[in-house]
Amino acid sequence: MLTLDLHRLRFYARIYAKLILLQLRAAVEYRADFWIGVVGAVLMNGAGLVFIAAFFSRIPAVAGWSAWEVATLYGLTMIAYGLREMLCDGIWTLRVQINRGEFDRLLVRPLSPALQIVTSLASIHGVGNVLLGLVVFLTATHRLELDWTVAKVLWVLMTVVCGLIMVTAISFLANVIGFWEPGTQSSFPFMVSNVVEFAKFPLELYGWGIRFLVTAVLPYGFVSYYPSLILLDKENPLRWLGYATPLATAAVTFVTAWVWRKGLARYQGVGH
Amino acid sequence: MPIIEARGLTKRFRRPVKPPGLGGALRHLVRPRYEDLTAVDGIDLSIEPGERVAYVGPNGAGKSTTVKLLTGILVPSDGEVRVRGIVPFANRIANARNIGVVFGQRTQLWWDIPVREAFRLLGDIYEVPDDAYRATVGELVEVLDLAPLLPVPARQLSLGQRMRCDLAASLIHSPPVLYLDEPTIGLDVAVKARFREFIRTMHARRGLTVLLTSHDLGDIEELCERMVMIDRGRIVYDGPFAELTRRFGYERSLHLLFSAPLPEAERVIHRAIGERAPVIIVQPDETSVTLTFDGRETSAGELIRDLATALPVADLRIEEPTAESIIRKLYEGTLSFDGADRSDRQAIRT
Amino acid sequence: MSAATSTPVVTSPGRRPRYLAIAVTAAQQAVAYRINTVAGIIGNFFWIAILYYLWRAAFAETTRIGSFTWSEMRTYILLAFGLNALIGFPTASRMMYAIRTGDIVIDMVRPLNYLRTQLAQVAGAAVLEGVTSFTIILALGIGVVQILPPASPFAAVLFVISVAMGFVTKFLFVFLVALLCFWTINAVGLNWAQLAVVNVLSGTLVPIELLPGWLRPVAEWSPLRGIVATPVGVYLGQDTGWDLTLMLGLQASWLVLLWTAADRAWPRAFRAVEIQGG
Repeated sequence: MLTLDLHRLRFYARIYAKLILLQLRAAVEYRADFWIGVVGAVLMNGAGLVFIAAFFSRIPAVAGWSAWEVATLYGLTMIAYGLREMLCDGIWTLRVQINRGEFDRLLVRPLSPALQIVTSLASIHGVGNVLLGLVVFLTATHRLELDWTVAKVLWVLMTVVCGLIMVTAISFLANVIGFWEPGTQSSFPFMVSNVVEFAKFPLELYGWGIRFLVTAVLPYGFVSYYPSLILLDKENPLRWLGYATPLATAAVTFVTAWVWRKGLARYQGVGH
Repeated sequence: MPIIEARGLTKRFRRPVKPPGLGGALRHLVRPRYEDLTAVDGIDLSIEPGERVAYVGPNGAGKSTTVKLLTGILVPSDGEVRVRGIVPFANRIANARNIGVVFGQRTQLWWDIPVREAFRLLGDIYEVPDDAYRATVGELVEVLDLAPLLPVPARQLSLGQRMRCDLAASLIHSPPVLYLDEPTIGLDVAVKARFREFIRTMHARRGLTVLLTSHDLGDIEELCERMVMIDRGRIVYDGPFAELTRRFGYERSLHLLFSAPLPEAERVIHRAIGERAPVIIVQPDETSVTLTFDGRETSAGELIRDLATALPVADLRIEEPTAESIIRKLYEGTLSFDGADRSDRQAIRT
Repeated sequence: MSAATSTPVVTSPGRRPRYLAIAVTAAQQAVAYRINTVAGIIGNFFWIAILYYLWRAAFAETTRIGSFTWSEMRTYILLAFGLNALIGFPTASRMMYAIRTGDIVIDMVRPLNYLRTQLAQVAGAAVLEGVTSFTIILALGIGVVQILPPASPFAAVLFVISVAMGFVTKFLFVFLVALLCFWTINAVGLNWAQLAVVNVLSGTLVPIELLPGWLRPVAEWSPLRGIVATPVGVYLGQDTGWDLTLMLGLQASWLVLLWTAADRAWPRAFRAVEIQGG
């Protein structure tokens, strides 16, 4: 049974890689559009960086966070978000696919529908966000004279992987609403997804409502802030939550999988 | 042993009843109300391997719901369904390997990806062994004449080209069952004919079982020996296509052309045939007339005998109903599926 | 016949000026998208909240940053985002997609000036989006953030005039960017770029006087400051006398210049694409 599952897993991984690579390659082929997308995405996040530069040229630190520490958060968030755009953006097509009846197609293939929906779109402009995020993150940690140890490198890798899974899971959660309300063209998914902006800054700045939102409801805080408490060795009563990053990610993934199954069952008309 | 088998197959949809306006939407949030809608109502269907079956019915009759139940897209509310011994919805992935599906309005190719790559990808997805893949794709490319299309991304294909590629894509894993859902919609006459030819060829070569839904009578007539007609979720006709005209085609028309103008033909005709049979008389102009009658009550010969002496008949033509007109009337509800006894008179009078 | 000539008003009941009719229709369509509208405003709210909390923390240490006090700063943030939301992302998207999808042809076959048609549509949609966001922001401003009232009644009047000019300025800028959709299908990328540039150079994200390095002089003189920085400066009474006249003069001059540019650009864009056979 276990070997069979392993075979299945390897098969899925191979199919995923093929599909997403084809999508990315196709996206690069429209060269002008590719560059416009990258520049647009980079400018969007660049605007936020301009704000940080302006802000911290007047104030040395805010709530105990220096400019480069905030930049670390900003960079980590951008990397996770950009990776999602490149590798797992397909869920954003769910509503359209349901409306046009294209979702049926996914159900007559011998593959998991979730895998197929994930690979139905690759937003190549994410590459701009990933690169800018990397530059910001590496510059910031360099300026902070972060003492790189193997443990810290592994910690950052874990943070990025969990961050990618977290933002992907939340975007799934937001878009699965399409199974229940396929007709309305609400911006609900965009709104949910945009909550990630809060994670670009230290959470202790915000009131308790926002802090609760990004810790317990849409836990974007685990994409950057909580793991950074440990990476940057910050004194904070909630520091221990940093270690819960993989757990929080697993929990959100679990909930998302459950909701996805519910949505799929609803689409297939189970129980009527 | 049948390859597709359904017993008492039923699908009910629950549809929310939303009162109009914002207040209504809010009320629905608090206390949602639903109405049940039976799209497929206890269908029994049995299809043998190698059969070609047309599944027809007016819009909203439950055709595509049935196809979705057979392909495992939808879960039935009641009844049983097996395709090649597999329950589609319970074992969707296993079922998916046995079937090919062509949706006329939606491509299964990837928009930006060349056809060749899409084929290879499908080969991977269906886990087709290399040699089998080469043989199958080689055959499909040859039969469907796809060679020039292989390097082209799907978005650049014309509709006809796309349908050929879609058909090939649905056969790459050599499924024994092929579902065609409105495959020729939007195609021009020549492309349609070619497409049908392809299906016939593939059927002959592979012994495919084909289930076709279509509104195009040409598709049905040329591709399928058996027709299943569904109306309001129930099967109302299941038999050979040719049998349809025999069973429902009792309405005849007799067109007469006069040698001299005869303005009051209708009165003359009534006098001539007396009370023999109910006949509808239409006189488009002074020199011709059309009589419509029930072929089971009156024969054309009797009518002609009565009228030949009373009227200055120069020429005449007898018209039997075409399958198209019969199906149209069945759809419109002007001809009852129950056929003969109950409603033949109404049918004729309308 | 004679009745009609004697009472000409009756012969064309309720006939509206053409561009007004377009604006009204656009407003009606915007009602249909009201969920989007509200969501768009809440989306804006995230950054309002981020900026609010960051500046609040900064002002906990000091009373003045640049020329701003805390109460001026929070007033600035709210008004800036409120004004920038008047022509939001969805409106810009609609303009771009009309070109991208070819729906623009419908506008082209009508006996209308394309630039004015677009302005009327945007204005119509903005009346609804603007009123909605204005209400929300006013409620926020009075209830939660406690914004300052206009510096004086005179400032209030000038503010309204400046907002109107700023609105058309933003429209013209977005319109010029949208014309690029004749050459690219990536409307989303263009829209992001447009949004980012406006956010920085209009003074939405940071007041212009706080911008770092070369960005500051660029923003000082750019047409985009007319969208946010100029009207909010007027509201707060930051400039008086000669400076005030200069600011409003700059805003008006850019407006005229952009209008002229837009009016010349669109027929050329159409022709260029026609020649390409697009």
